[in-house]
Amino acid sequence: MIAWNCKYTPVELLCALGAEPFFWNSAADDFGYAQRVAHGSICCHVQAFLQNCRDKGLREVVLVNCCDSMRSAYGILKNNGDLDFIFLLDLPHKVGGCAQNIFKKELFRLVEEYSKFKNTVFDSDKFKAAFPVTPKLLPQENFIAVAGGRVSDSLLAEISAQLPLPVADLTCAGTRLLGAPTQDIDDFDALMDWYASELLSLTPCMRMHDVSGRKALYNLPGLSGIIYNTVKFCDYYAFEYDALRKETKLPILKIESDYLPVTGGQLSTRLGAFAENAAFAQQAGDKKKGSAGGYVAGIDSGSTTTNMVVLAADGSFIGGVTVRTGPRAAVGANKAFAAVKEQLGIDKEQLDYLVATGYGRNAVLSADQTVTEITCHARGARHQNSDVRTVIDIGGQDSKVIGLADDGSVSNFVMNDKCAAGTGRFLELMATTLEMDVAEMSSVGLGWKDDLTISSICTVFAESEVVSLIADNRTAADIVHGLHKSVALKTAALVGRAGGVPAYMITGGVAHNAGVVQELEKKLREKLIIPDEPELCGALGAALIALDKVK
Amino acid sequence: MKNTVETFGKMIYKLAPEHPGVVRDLLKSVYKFEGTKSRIAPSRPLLPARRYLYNMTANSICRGFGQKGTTALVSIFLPCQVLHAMGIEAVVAEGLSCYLTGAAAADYFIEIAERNGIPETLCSYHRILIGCIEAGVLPRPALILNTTYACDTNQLSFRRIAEYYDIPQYVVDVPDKPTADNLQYVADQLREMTDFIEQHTGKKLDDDTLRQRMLWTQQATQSYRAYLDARATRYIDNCMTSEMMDILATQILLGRRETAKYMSMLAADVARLPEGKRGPRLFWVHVLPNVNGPLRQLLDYTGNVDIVGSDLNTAALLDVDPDKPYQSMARRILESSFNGTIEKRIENSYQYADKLNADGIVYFCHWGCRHTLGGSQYAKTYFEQRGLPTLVLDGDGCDRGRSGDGRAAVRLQAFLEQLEHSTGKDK
Ligand code: SF4
Ligand code: SF4
Ligand code: SF4
Repeated sequence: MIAWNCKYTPVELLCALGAEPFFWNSAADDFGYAQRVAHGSICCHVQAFLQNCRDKGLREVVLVNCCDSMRSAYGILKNNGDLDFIFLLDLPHKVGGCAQNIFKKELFRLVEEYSKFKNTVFDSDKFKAAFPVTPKLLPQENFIAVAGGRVSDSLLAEISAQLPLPVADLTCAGTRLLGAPTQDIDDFDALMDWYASELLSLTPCMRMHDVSGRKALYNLPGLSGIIYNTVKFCDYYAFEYDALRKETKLPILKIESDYLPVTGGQLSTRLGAFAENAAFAQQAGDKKKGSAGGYVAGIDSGSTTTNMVVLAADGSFIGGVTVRTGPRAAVGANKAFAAVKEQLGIDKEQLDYLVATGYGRNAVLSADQTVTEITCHARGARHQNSDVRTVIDIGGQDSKVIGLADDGSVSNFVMNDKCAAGTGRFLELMATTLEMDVAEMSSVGLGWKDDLTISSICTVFAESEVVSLIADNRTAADIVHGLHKSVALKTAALVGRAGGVPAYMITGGVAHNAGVVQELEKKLREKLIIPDEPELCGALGAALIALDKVK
Repeated sequence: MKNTVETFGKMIYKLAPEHPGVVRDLLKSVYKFEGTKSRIAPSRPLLPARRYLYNMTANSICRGFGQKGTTALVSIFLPCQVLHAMGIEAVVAEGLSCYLTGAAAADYFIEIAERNGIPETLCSYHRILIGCIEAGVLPRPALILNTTYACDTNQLSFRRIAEYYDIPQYVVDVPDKPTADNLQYVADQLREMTDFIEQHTGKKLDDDTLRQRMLWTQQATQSYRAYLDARATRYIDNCMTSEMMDILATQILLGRRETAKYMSMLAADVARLPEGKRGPRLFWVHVLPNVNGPLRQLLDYTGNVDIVGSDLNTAALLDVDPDKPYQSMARRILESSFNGTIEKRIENSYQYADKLNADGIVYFCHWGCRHTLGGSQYAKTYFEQRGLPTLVLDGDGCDRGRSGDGRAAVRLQAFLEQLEHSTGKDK
């Protein structure tokens, strides 16, 4: 068995030499070994490959010198002595005649080295038989493509399971549509010429010089939506995504794969929101209830607070509550129900329809439906101000930017990555370091004099920067202002990535923070709309969706 | 001084969104001033050769900010002799970003790049370059020319810039081994690149002028080797920046008369210094983080620590044949230690570290430079097995937000202490 991982690998040639090639594209359980022999900031697919080579005991490997991470992985694998055979194929970046000739010479080199290693010769029948009779075809009906950088087998399965349409893998690892030779070519040199040219004519990946052939991928008949993936610490595909999101009319969702086991949370929120908003959305999970109690509600179960909004059956606003979530989402929800009873005098049984949203939405067992916070925020924001085109929500654990189409539907959204920088949590942590509470922090920063910049991006490092600024006798006002700038900077970058346009509305608890709002307004060169109760926006959207159900 | 620079940086930050042209002029005058100052009244005890170098690089950067459509944006290993022969200024990300960070002006450009969708995991030299172009501060180059190595980054960012401004781009595809076929392949492309430049600029290349450029290349290479010979037994009170500026001289500025002159001055200056070492002698792998304040305190003009050489400056010190310019340039590209697998680069570094009598190696993992990152542990083992203590240092060459200031300094200081101790220089 010989492992390969790039579509330009001459798999059929390996078969002709008596090898048993298998496509190796799995996630790893962890990266302990990979980070010991390489580095934690190289491409995660390559880290997984290194890790699996050892964990799964691979003996033979053919790599392509695709990128810098791969090139260094080859050096490591070759020298750590764990493998019996390793080969690095030099793939040209251009595809014309001269490049093809260079590539053919590489195929010869592989033949020479592998036949020496295995003591075999090229078998032309095996070569022909290795081509699939009918190459893997794309779905005939409407489908969603996973495109961009590769996704692991398990991630692809997870995505397929969560979407309402068939999913086709159009990533760099998934589009190897290679046809068999149509006529007999007896001369080996001529055969390899043909083969080199076939391989180089595959739909180019972003690593190739001329990528214009990729346009065809996004114009395939039946293509109804795109999940665009980038691999963590791979830069190739982020560039294509940036261009594609501006051009395509199809619904598009950006995800990042890290080649570790798939963990639910953020991914399912994103996929859920994508499925809800895209044109192919189905009316899933609808259930209509009677209208006995006369009220509907939305509950937004966030990591820090749980918010709930109650509307009367005629749509009028009854009220909203906010409670701390505590350690478990279900507990937070119960506290919210209790608060609604106490403050608004409405019993859980009086709710005709309850929509749960937020990261703990699935823990609200009494909900009639769950909807992602993306959809709910969009709905809530638009309801409060019909000019809004971009919602900026800075929540406790994640911040997100949602672009709205003219009709108020979600046109695009981005969320921050897994780290806390630029979120409410970041400010909370810094407030603790500065020994003040969050509310105090909001006003203190306004009195700054010296324009400090907190340059560290990571929360942990920013904290130590703050500690040294305190030691430096900088005033709290200056430091807080620096922190506000840092949050504003992160958020503005997110707005840029989402292609956000005015009017902007800011929601979430951080909207109360005048310092952050001011800095963000500076960055965006635009006033922000702040709703009356910014933290209730998601719950309000959920309540409005509930209202639709009983109307 | 630090505060003046910071204030200047803030001013740039405020002005850039509305007045990119003003910012461009400001930067030009600052670099012009800095260049002249280092020539006639440097604030540090620089060798005469280095004073000449600083003036030369500052002028080159200034010309990069010159008229729209007069420069070529190139990658660091692209041979520029043809451009010099045709009087076209080469702009390179590493040089430009280094200068912008030096003037504390890079933050805004990093911000613009990220706002325009450039991943923050991309090498910061290129994030600054893209930001500077997309902010309208760096004037539109006439051409983009690049090789496919040393890294993925240059392919990506140059393609992006070419599309953004619709700039004609020529890419030299470089295979990973110096075989005869590959040599021919690259040489043919370099010839084609010359046609491409002629076609897009309307200028003509004169063969004799190119020959002269190759002669200067050869002279410069020989002088740099002589400098390294002398350097093996001598100490210079120097700084990270001069090693960084040498990268411009050993790569894109090769083929200019001034560069040949600089290299021969350098060899002569160093040969005149007394023999002997002071503190630990470091060989540096990859770029030097000359933006990092605490690291500078440990390395710059300490009267003790000595950065004796770096892998970027010793990547391809090959002879060239002025009568075979294209073959020679192709060979330099293919045989460069940065082309091909990581082992080649590490072996080359070891050889020069050994030749230069280094006591230890700092392997600098510039964030985003995956080839360097990926090879770090392999390199450490390789060097240490051969008796050279190695520090793998994570950081960023020019993004201050990622340079991880304090922590890197602690580790470097401990490493220096270790070296001083083991070489018996502990005072
Ligand atoms: S990006 Fe291209 S070269 Fe790299 S693994 Fe994918 S198909 Fe192969
Ligand atoms: S995901 Fe990107 S970095 Fe990783 S192997 Fe593929 S092209 Fe290279
Ligand atoms: S530092 Fe590394 S990634 Fe950045 S331009 Fe240089 S070689 Fe490329």
